[in-house]
Amino acid sequence: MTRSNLVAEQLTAGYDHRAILRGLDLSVPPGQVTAIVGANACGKSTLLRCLARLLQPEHGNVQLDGRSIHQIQTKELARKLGLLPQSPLAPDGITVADLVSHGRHPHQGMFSRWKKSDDLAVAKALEATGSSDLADRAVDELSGGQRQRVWIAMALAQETDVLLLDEPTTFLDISHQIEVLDLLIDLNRNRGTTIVMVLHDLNLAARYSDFLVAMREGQIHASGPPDKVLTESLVEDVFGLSNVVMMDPTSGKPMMLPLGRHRMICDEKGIAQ
Amino acid sequence: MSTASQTTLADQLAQMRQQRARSRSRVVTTICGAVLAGFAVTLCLGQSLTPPIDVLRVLAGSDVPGASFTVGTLRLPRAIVSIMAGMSFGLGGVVFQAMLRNPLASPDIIGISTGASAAAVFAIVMLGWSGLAVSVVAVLAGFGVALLIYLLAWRDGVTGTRLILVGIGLSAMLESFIAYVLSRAPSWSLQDALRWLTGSVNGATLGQAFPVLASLIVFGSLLLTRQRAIEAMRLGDDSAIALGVPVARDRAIVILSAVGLIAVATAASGPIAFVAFLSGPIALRIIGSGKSPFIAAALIGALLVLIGDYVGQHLLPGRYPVGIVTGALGAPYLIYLIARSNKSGEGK
Repeated sequence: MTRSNLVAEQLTAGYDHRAILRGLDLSVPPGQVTAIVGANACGKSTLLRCLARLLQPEHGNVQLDGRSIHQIQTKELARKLGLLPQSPLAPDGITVADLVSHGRHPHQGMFSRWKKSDDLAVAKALEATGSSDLADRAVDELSGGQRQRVWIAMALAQETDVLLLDEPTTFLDISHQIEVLDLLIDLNRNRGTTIVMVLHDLNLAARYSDFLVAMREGQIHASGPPDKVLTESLVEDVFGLSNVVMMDPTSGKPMMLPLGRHRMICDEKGIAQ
Repeated sequence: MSTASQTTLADQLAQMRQQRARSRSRVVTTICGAVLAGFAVTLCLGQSLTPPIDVLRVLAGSDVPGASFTVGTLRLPRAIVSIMAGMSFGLGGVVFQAMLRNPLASPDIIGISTGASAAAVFAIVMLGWSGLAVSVVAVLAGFGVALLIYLLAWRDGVTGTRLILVGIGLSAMLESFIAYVLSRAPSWSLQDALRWLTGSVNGATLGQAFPVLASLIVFGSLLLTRQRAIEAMRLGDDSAIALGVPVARDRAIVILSAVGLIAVATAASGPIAFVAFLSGPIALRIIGSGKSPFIAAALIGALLVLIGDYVGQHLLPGRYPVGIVTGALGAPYLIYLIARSNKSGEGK
């Protein structure tokens, strides 16, 4: 599979002429899992919206394989770049199979008929997300975790090289968060899909990403492998939070423990109080 | 590269899809049959019964004493205008409802038909116009109001709820404008102007049907080419863009076509109350939600106008224009929807 190269150059973007991103540069490592973290309003979602051409930057541009994404026809781009928005809407009563079938939209012409290959792509997406049994169920009846898997299945049916996800674990309980993240790693390993996701949870981001991007005030504060990026001073800078970073014994990745004003038995130097 | 289980699942999916397509086309055929039956009944049965054979002879163009006038001049144009206008209202309404994901987003609720009516009433009463000029003004006003709603609701893009609220407000203003103009109306123009309040197919002529037919062909086929895009827009703008739908362009095409359908039909029959609003939800009930209800909704619209007109003419004590009958049907549903949307806190 040719791996798509997604690059943002000198990106300045925002809403109502209020710049949220300020001259941001990012090169997404192809074939890897990238997680974007940062405090509220630091511009993570804005960056993802720019990468997905939902937001037109005021300056700079986003390129996919050397072409500006705003120059590429939106349907052609949709065959290479998929997106799971933060809160997608399911029409009343739509079945799982129908919802996932929407993922085939960019592969179809205006009047072209539904093909065997479309059914197969939908079947693969359902199977990959463990939702085969849900095919004829109504989306409104599903649990939060099942629903998120189905939305991911829709993005998979699109068969893109790059998949962008805006906080795919929000509103899910912890077991479903892990389930969704594991699923994304499966996709990355089995299909070679480049994954870029905005995540709230720093520790899950460090555990599940190959490339961690920490944002602050509309710029990239640090990026690289999680064990290089996630340090005590970074968390202090980005979130303004005293903390301790140690190795997560279960994953071997760095893990951050916040220090608050109460309920502490030691300070950041590990000295008992 | 596909495993056996994937192929089996794909086959199952194909089967499910075909089954549903079959059941949908069965339902659509049935509604189509009902429209044809309604058409036949209204041609044969009015104040008096005309034998079907005479009706057929009139339709074939021969001159049948007695029947030629009742069927050819009175009933046939009336039935055809009813069907054409009903289809336009049904299709225009369901497209708005689907695209804005809200049954309240129907053009007769958000003031597009009211705009057309207000302009027509103004032209008749204040300017003394009549005939084609009034229709043209009505169509233009329909587009004008749609544009105004769009501009007023615009803030970094247009969301469904804002558009609906702006539309309802505008609709109320236009209603009071109509009431004001009617209060100034001399009695000779009152009768003509009143048609624009509730909608009526009284005295319909074939000449009125042609523009509606033309708009159905042009705008209707334009809408059918955007069917998949509308379906994708129901997932939200972000998802639709991510799926490769040029949302801004397609939405403009869809809104223009739907407004065209509504405005032209309104110019022919007046704003037949609530047909646009009711057809989509009824069609969805019948064919099952989650699947595109466009053609079914158009047919339901035709059926509503045909039946409503027949009830208003023959089955009630006294004669009422069709809009009064459909209005009486639609108002309770509107109240139900608003009550329900308040409960859940959103206009769903």
